[in-house]
Amino acid sequence: VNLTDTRSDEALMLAFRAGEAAAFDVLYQRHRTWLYNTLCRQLQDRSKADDVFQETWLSLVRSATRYEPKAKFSSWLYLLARQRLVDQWRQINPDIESSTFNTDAHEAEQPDLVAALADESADPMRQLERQQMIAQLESAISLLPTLQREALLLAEYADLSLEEIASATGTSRETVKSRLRYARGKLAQMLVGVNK
Amino acid sequence: VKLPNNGPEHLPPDGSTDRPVGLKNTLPSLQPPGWLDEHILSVAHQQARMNAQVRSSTNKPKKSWLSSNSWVPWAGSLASAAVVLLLVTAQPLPPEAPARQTVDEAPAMPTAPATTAPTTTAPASTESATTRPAPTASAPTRSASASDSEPPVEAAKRAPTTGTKPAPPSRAAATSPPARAKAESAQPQASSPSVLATPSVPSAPSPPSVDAIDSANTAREFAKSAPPRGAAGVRQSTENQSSENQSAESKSYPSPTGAADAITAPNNERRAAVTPRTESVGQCAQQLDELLLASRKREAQQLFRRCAERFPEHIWPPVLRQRLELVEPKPPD
Repeated sequence: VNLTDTRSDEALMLAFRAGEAAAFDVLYQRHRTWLYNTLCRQLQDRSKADDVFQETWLSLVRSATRYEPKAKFSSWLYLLARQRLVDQWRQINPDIESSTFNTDAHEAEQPDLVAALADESADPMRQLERQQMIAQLESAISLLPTLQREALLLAEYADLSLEEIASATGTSRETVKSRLRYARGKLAQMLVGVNK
Repeated sequence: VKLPNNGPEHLPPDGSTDRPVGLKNTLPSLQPPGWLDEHILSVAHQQARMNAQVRSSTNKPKKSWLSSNSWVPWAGSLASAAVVLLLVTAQPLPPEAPARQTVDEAPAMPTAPATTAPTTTAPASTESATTRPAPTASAPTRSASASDSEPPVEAAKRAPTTGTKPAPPSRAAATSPPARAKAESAQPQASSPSVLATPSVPSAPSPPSVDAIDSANTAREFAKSAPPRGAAGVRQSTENQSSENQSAESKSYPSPTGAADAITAPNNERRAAVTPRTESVGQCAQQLDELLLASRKREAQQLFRRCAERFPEHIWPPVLRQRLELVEPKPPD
């Protein structure tokens, strides 16, 4: 895989649509990690994450001939993955949409995860505590509401902007911003509670 | 834990930038299994090949008809068909075809071949008189066909326009059969200024001898310009020639009225002298030359009339007619 390919994701996708297999290799290497981590933390199940991950990429391969660079490639990729994710979510919790929207009402009352992380010291002596905190963080993320977790993971792993997350999840920018705020507050609350 | 900043979107609402963020660098990175990577990549490569094939197949119809090679076969066949059609239409018809068509389809309109024939025969005869090439067989034939469709009166009227010395129709033309009239009508067409400029220069007086010499020279020149039709005719013996000519004369060439007394004279030599010995125009001219050299002008006139009657398709030079006193100057109006 040519990792030094400086072409954009959209250009690589167009090249793959034109029949260049190497372009897909570069795209896959760029986006496989964040997508897989996002799916794993969304579903909390590696096997299900593998299935969604595979179906997502195969769906991208099959729909490559219809690809048009209208949005960021990572947004489009996650949009494909989210169609499978929603199916998995509905199998787990049929009321996922309503429960998620209910959390928006408590946006102002939730503490900020970033603020909680900022309080952590970089002292090497606390490396062990850091490892423990990472495990707690993983657990806290898993406890987040689905759509808040989705927004948080897309923002943290996929480096998507609010507009791109909104485009990938089919919501508005303000909704994404609210979900992120709720997710971070809950994480901070959980982590502070653990630390205390 | 101090986490790196991941971007402005992850900043807190108050705008402060001194807080590290980034779960990506904090949480352990999970990797998909290798078999999943291989499977996805293999499927993607296969799809890429299919996309390439689809693109190559869909790009072909988008080519313009000029850049594609599909138009070459039918364009080539069309061009070849056009060339064949041009060749067929541009190929000249055989000389007999227009005359037959005119006679068969439009007998009342013989003007078309009559107008075209003189234009083709006159330069050829002029050239033959000046440069003296061998006369072709087609030129006399065309002139004869032209005179067939043209009345002798019209040809006689048209004669002064081509020659510098107009003359009324000769006695031979008035008394000879239609074949002679044809020859007479064809003769002025060939009389061009270049032909008239060729006669010998009049020299010192002694009228009989000079006249005979001039006439002999003219006949000699004409004999050169009109070679025999075939070498076999030249090589024929005189005995055979005379016998053949006598039989031919008695059968198909009756004597004109103007030469009746000369022919009816009981003189075998004279009779042999005025009879064309061969069927060759060149030998006729040679015989005329001999008679003119011997100052036997009357016999030469008779011989010329017979020759003109025998070879009506041949173009006899007007100079020779003048020397033989067959052409009289046109009386002034």
